[in-house]
Amino acid sequence: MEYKNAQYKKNDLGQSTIIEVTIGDKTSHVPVHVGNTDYDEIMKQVKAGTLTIKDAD
Amino acid sequence: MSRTTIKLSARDYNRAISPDKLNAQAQRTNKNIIINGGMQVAQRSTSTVTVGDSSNEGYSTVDRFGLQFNASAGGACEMSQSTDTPDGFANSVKIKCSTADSAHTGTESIYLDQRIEAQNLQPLGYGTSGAKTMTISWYMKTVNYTDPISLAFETRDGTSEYYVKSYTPTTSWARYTCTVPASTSATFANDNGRGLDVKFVIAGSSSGTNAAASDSTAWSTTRADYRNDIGNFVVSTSNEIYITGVQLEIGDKATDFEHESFSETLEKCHRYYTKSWTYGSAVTTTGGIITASNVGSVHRSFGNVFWPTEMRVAPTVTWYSGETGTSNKWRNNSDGADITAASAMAAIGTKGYGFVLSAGISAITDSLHGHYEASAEL
Repeated sequence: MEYKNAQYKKNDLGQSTIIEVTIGDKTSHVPVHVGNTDYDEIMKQVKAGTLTIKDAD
Repeated sequence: MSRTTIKLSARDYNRAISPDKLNAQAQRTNKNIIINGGMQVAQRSTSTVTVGDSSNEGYSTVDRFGLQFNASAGGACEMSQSTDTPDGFANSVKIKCSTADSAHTGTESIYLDQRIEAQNLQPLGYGTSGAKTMTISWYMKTVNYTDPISLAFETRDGTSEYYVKSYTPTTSWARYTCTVPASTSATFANDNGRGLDVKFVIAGSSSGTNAAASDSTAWSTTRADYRNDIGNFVVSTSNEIYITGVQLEIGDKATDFEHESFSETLEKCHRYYTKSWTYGSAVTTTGGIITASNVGSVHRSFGNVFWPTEMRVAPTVTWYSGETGTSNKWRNNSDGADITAASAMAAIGTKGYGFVLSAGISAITDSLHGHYEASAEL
């Protein structure tokens, strides 16, 4: 599955607990949570250097 | 007091209730490790979805069964929930080749799989001297395709072990079974991670490095994704395959398929996927049912939604406008416009989510509509 346009999003407490990312043709919200298969795959691609996650605005 | 002895005939004895029989009967409940083996639940779509490499790949129709195109395998298939079934079943999964690909190379393969949560495999006792034999059974038929497919198992915790076997389908419904010996070396962690993949491989490269030369007789750490006698299901757009009644149980015999009520299976599926639309309504259907009211003079909206059952992990959530069905949007019904949900999240957890919306709200009386789907698949 292709992941693109990844960016951390902050919650009301200023914590980056969500990654907004386009998966296929949809924009979704992935929790920063090991075990979520999307999060695990995103971090795998980040480690491989094929995806970067922008900091939260 | 006199005592009467009743002598039972063999026939009467067989009819009598015994502790052994009661015990055997009790073990039949929840014996199927596979979820939605009868293919009756299809939350994402009850209609046909075209699946190819990176295009709707994975879960698209019947719950808990994904269609995978490994190593960017070519070709495409239409996947749907079908009513073509053997007697006693209401549904099957239908896969039809829609875009042909004449051959596969390297590690390419196409397969229907179910990924089983590791903690659900603990009764098998793998990795211990008490490891148990298991048996898988399923019903299958094809249209225009009679070459072999492969049944393949892969353990996912620790060092992976593999077990593969070749089966040749026919154009009539038939039940197939495979008894798999125990492994005292493979392990399944007692957690919510991916423990075991069960695959029906319908295409692959017969000369590929991951093709096994013969049927397995024991688990092996040598990678084996499928048998080397495998055919190529996507060689013709006339090819169809139907599968249902998938059951994986402890023991060396395939017992009758354990039918569940629709609600029982749906509840099991909710652990991995749920959506706010009514069952049978496709994602992106318009008409919002999640309504958020606004509070305070700063025009902020907040709320909580709880999943119907606790999910496997905190899920990936996709928002949709309740009016247009556009993803990553909420609908401000008062303004007649979709607003971006980018700042909508406060928290996502295994039991639900809490959200805060601010951008795009112009008045404290604004009415917001939205939908969601949440996925915690393996």
